[in-house]
Amino acid sequence: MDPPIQLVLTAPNEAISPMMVRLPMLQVLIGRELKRLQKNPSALLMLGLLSAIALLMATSKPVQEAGPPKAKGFWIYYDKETPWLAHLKEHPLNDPPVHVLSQDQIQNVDARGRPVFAPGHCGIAVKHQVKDGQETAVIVAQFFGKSPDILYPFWNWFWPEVAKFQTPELNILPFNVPMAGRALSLEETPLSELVKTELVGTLLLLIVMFFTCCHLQVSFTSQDRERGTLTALVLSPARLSEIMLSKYIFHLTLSLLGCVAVIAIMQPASLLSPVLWIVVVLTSIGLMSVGTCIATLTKTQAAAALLALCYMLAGSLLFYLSTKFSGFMLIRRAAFENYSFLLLYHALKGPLSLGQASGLVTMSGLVAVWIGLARTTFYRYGWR
Amino acid sequence: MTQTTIEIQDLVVRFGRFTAVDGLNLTVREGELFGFLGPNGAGKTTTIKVLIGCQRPTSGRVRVAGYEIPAEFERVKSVFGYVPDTENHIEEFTGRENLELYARLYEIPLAAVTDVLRKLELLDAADVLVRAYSKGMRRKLLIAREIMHTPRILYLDEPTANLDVHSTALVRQLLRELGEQGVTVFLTTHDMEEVEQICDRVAILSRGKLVDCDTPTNFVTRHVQRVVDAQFERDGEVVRESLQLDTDEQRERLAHIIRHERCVTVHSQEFNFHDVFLKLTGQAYT
Repeated sequence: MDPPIQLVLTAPNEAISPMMVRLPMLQVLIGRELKRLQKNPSALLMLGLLSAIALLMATSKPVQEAGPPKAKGFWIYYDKETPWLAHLKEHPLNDPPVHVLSQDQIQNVDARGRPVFAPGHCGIAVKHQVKDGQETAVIVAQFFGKSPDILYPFWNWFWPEVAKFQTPELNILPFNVPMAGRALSLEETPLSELVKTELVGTLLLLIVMFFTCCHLQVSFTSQDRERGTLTALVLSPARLSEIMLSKYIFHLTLSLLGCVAVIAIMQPASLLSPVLWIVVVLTSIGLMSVGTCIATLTKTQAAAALLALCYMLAGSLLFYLSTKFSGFMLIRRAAFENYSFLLLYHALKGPLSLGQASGLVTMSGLVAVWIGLARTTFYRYGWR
Repeated sequence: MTQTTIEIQDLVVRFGRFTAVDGLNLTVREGELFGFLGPNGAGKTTTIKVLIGCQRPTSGRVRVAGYEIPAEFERVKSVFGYVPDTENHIEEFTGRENLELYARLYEIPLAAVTDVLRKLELLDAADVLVRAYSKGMRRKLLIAREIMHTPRILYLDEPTANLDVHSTALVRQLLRELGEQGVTVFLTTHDMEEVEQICDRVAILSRGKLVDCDTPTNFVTRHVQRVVDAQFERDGEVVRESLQLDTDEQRERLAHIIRHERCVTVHSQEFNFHDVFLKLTGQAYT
């Protein structure tokens, strides 16, 4: 059989981690993805089509709000019973309705104990202070939206009713305070309120992100797998981490460019919203991770494309069912797209600070889970 | 002193209950043209996949160019080239674009692309989309891609499949040259002529087990049945005798026939490597 052989096995000892990333290698790999996109006119056509739809929607102004917003109700809550408050209870305003109740009767409060009102409702806090024998009732009117004009119906009813109680001993001091700083209760946002330009913008953003980060990425990655080009890449000096990262960077850039186009056309004021871009980046990364899992766990490009479509349809169905059956809400809360949709909508609607963007942390956690899943499946099964 | 490039010890690969490779032991020396033969499903491709790090072994030890596989997969990658049995080019790219991508990944000058295209006689079709290439051209482009970075080891899974006579000769010549330059060539093929022509040593695998490993010449010498057919006239009739020359008795019998009978014809049965392969694997290869 084999002649005797003296083994001389030599190998350099420097450690190479598959996690290490080299910039020149990334550049080559991103260039490869870009070239593939250039050679796929249908993908470019789809991106152009989405931008054209955004332009059409923005110029045709499909749904505009008629006049300034109106309050749906006012909630007066007080710390002490007084004759003038008793009078207000007996002579309430009916349109929009005014409710007068003591502070202890309010059950829906946030983590800091502040009352939480349903969208469209204003809170009126009445706090009594006594100083030098004079009692002052401080009225803090919390309004939603951008303008205190929404409080006009309330003040028009309030002042005539309390005028006769205002004496030198009782000073009623009003303040208008916007509901800033209060975390948005995302789940309380009814869908019927969302059918506006912001909704169209949100949907277009989600479609752009789904197309570039999920559908296109699934298509390219599964094609790579089916043709064996991914195996060839992995067997070249390019590391798994570099291949995966190059795909993420390429599709994220594509997604950001598409989103910039949509926002610039539909809601240019939101271009500087940090929350909006954080949500766009998180959603894009989440969708890319979902796409990586789909591409990795399917054998062919056709199967992967179908599964990606099923994912999108299942997500839409879940979103709809959660508005009808409370049981689906739990599942909806486990999907990062749930937070994307509502946060994108609110960020497009008006300025939204990081403090107000509740759900951002949960969304980041869910996206991190998807990244972990994508990495594990890609490293283990993706290229073999 | 000969340096071992590939060392396989007690390699076992199982897929569920099916054992694809069963206790394989093999060493391949530097610069050797090593043929790896076996019927379909014998475990050849699985073994290559283990060697390149694409398949995790169930048990056993594999070292390639001094690196443990699969533990040192990232380090061994730039050492070898792998020509799979199915081509894996980017169809939308031209032949040149495909090779340029890999030249950049291997950080070698782009001039090497033109050189290797010329060597494989693909220069005229370099700027044509791979989609328009024939099967033979795709195969040659694959070989071009994998030799471009001058690997120390070249694995080839049926390198001359779908190639015409001229291209087959071209590739075989190329493999010989690579062997002379010290490149270890590890190839699987079903072409017995190819094995006899270019391989320094051959291993035959059957049902995951190594049947034998030797030079093609030694294989034929060791395994052929040395049979001589002698036809001679006796009492007006032609008599035919087949004699196996493995024993003195049979050899004396042949000498007797030649000396004392009226021989009509005496000829030996010529066995080649193909017959040896069939004999060793116990079945017709497909």
